[in-house]
Amino acid sequence: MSAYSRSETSLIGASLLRKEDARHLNGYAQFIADIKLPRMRDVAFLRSDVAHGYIKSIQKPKGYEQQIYIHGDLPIENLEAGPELAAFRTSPYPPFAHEKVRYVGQIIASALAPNRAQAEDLVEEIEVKIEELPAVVDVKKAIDADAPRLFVHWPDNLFIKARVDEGDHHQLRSAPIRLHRQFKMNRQATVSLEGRGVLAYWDKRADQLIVHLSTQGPHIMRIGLAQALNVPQSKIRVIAPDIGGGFGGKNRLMPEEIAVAAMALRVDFPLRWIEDRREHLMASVHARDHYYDLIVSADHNGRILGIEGDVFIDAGAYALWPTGSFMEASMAARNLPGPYDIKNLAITNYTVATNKAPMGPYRGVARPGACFAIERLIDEVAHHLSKEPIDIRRLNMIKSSQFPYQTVGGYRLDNGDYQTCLERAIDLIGFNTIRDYQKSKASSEHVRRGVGFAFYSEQSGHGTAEWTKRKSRIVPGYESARIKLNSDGSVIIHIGAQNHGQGHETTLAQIAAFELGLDPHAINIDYGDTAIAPFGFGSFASRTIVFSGGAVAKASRAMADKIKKIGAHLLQTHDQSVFIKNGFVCAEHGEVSFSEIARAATIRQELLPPDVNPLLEFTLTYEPSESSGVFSYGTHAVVVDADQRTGNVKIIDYVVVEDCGVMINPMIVDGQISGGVVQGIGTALFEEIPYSDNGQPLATTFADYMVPTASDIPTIRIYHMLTPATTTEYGVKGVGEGGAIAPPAAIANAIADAFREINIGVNETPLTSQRIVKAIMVAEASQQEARRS
Amino acid sequence: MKSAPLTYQRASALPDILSGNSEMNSMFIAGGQSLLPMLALRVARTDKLIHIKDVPELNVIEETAREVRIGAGLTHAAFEDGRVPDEGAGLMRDVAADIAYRAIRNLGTIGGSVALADPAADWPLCLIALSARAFIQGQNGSRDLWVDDLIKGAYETSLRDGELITSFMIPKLPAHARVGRCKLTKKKGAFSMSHAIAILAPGYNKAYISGVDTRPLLLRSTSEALARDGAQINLADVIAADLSPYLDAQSYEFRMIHAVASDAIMQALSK
Amino acid sequence: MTAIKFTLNHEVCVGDVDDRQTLADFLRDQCSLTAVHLGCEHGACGACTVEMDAQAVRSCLVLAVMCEGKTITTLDGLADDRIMSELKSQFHLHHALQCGFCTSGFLMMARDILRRNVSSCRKSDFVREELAGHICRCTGYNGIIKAVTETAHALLATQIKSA
Repeated sequence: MSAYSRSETSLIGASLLRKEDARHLNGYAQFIADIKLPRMRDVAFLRSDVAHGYIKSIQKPKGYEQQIYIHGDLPIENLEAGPELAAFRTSPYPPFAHEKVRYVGQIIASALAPNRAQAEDLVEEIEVKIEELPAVVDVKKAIDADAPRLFVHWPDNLFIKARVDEGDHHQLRSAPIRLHRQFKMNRQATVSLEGRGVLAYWDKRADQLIVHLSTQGPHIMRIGLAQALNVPQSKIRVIAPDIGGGFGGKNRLMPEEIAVAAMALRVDFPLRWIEDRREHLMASVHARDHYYDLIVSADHNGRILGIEGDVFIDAGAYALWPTGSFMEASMAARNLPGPYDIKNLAITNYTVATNKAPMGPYRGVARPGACFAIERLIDEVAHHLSKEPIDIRRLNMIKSSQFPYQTVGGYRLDNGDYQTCLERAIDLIGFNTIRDYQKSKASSEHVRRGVGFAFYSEQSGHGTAEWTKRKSRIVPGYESARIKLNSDGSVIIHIGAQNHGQGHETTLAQIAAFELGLDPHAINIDYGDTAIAPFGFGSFASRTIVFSGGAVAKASRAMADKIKKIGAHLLQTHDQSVFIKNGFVCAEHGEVSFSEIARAATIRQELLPPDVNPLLEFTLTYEPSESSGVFSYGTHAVVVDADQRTGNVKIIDYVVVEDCGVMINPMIVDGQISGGVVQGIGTALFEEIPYSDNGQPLATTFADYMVPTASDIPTIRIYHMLTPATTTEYGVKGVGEGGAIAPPAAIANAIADAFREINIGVNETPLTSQRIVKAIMVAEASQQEARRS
Repeated sequence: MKSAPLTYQRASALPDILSGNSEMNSMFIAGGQSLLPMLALRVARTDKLIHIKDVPELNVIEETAREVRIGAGLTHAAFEDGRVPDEGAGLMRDVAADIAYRAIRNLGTIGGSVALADPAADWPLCLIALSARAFIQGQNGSRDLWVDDLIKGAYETSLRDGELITSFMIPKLPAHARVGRCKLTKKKGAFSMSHAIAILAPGYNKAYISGVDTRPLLLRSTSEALARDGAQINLADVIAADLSPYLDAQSYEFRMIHAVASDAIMQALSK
Repeated sequence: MTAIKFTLNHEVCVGDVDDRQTLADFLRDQCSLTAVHLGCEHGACGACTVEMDAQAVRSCLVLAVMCEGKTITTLDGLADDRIMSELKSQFHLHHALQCGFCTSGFLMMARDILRRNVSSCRKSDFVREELAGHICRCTGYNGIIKAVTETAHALLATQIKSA
């Protein structure tokens, strides 16, 4: 069978079928829970069932004290997390709760046993007394002067308050149109199908702590573990196995992981913790949870003049290492202008501490919230002016002639054609046909059809300039690649990024193969083991194809140059008169194989040119020439049918027109978009962890926490535009997150459109059937009120 | 999420179960598709699990001209696949095929669903709508009663300690009975928010709904109006009259559940 | 603890199990059949799907002790199965997997629906409904649906019936 899903001749842009598929299709993959080591024991945690309280006593069961750990039993250093900003308040996040518990699910103690079931039995024997305190659950009330305080040494429950102020917002007060709206995106979890997991032991032979960790960034986690455990990095090896999804949820060093590693230093056997689904929903990285209170100002035509207001981020009880969650608030504010030519932005953003699990990054990070806010505001302005939302978008969209465009949010939008993108989506979704269909339906019909649009841009491949702007304590400003040609001519490349489903073993092999004139199947891409892989930051923020792709290209070219130099020498000709083809260095009069060249460079160095060192191995780093990021973008257009009696929403059609620059492997790009869209649909319609007034999470299993499955989504139609980036290798841009950014906005707009005669408020995700019916009833009631008066 | 320690006993005959074992806390398990998650989450606990799936009395399939007698241990898949005689309108088959997912249906049992009496469960609603009877065996002998009397409330049945449901008797529906059904869920296969079944036949006009009360609710005025007025029924009003003792007429629940009832009945009327 | 004996991937399997142990944990831990994945342990995600007496079941919702005398097949036991082989090719061709964690469960369930109803599996709406109980977070499902419908077409074209 062909190795390509479509007929291709060039490797750049080839839909090469994935090299990593075989192990998953045949059951040979090895995820963290699949690793079996002799004498391995399992860890279970005692977790707080109270959201906020003082720990008064912990009683270990008699006879089992050696198998139970609590705060103070193990030396663990605090890891300071958050941006390097004096204004950002820090507080220790001890892996085992100390003095206070601050969220339901926070770890109080651990129990070790021969298997997980017995460890859970043992956890039940631990007696804990907690003096309960009132819980801080509402993000706005949390910053009231009289709110109970999570950290007594803080003046209030704010990690940080910051301001984005661009343009002249005073002039906005006299704008002809000023609409005040609130938007809420509710808390959810990341829900990788494989939960988190860690397996750690002290390897006596190697005199090292070995930590198998389901992570998106093994090198970074190693730094954190070394600091927390006060062990030199040279004595810690982190190995990432196959990862069953991450989406950001495996890109922070979490208390369980530190606890297990610390316990492993104390005991004589391997220790394992495998997260279960309830733990994941309760205590893993939480996400979204934004509240926007905004005023949009516009002129009579609908030209948006500015956005003012407040953004609240419910960041949970602690800052996760290394970043904390200020990034969420800052990105939410800075992304509010969206793709529109808006000159004024005045936003106060609050990163609030509450008695909930800590917030971390999840596909799109703050952008789904910001996109929801701006795209809904566009539709609200349109509705107010009795205009079509697409016309307001057309009026305000950044024009191609304006690129590179510096937004008031501080982003340098590099290039693209936003207007054409919008027009194509309008055409492809069949806008006019939908309007005709809507007109043909009686208003008495239960089911209403609506069409909605949303535009997103996705900052990707951003490096030093952007991360330093964010005051990151770790600046992922480059990626590395080590390429080796073995003595038989086979190639292996080690990278510092961390594939967790994105197909890097394939796409990066395509790049190397392109540069080296080889078959991609002759090139191994390897990663995940800090003992072997060159230092790198991991995979997140849609960075890998830009950074690792660039590093692999650079290293492959360095290799190609040396191969040619040696080959030319062996062919007794000039460097400039040889070329590479199919694993050979060729000259007019002859050719020499890579394996012969590798043999010379490795075990027969007398054959080398005099000025050339042995070995064919390069470790290089790469950063794009413009490190403020390259911006993918796209329009999502969605058609829904909504039942006005039950609030049931069915997605009839979904179109994505997107531009991520040059695509190394279009099949893999489509897969990323498709997966992102469905996660976005999850945020839009299904996923939520509500909290009770006393801080109890109310969705802790899949019985209550819904995620989209195959029957909830239609075929997603994906179309591409191609504006190559000008500052990256091959013109690539990142694409991993974009699919998840726009769906909540597009779907909300479609539902609003379905009921546009009654102007319902669709301003809170997930748009469950209950919320939709409530919104319809509120709108119907105010219409009746209006008619009466 | 591993269950607390327990011991397992497989019963192959009814006397094994009924001999009683009062020293230990015990539970019956047939399909386990509801019980095992509860045990794994440790929200239910037992010292002993008695596996009753293989007991012959729980697997009977008998059919006469007037009724169907089926074992409580029959799986939802058995109904879905048509391996169980029908009550005459394909209702049981239709209900079964819409429960959860196929892999769950291969093991989950009709008796387990009724004995658990989850207010969102489908079989209690269906069997009550069909005026089915349940046959029960216990240490002190056997008895039978209407499923309508067996289901008392949320997770509450009139089963006594040590009793189990062995089989159900379902009267066949009259010829040309028209059946309608509407289930509202957050997503396919999830527990229902509300589920309505309407049966229209000469002398038998019943509409039942779950998700309103703690047990399946007879829409009494609606059923009477269907008998009296048939297709001329003022459906919106009678459903509203039946729901208003339980739900605030201005609430979104009322609106959604009203639609579920209405759709089920309209479906039956359209046949 | 209870002694059990059953057929596993065409061979006799004997074990001594803790009564509370699920079939999923037994297969993974005692039999090292780690293609059986745990995504939720409460029967909601489908990642642990295996075949028991020719029926698809969620192995996290079966106790190991309940398998006495039964025939269990996991992905590892279907390497020579014609439907499974076609499915794997189509999954590969249509990019129906990314991280791979849900893949074995989807393959097991897809094979089951193809065995029971290959003709209807040519329609994507049918396949969507049949696979509605399986969670994938990476692919967005369309590649999986396409792989299954294409398998149905391929099987019907060659008129292969499973043993």
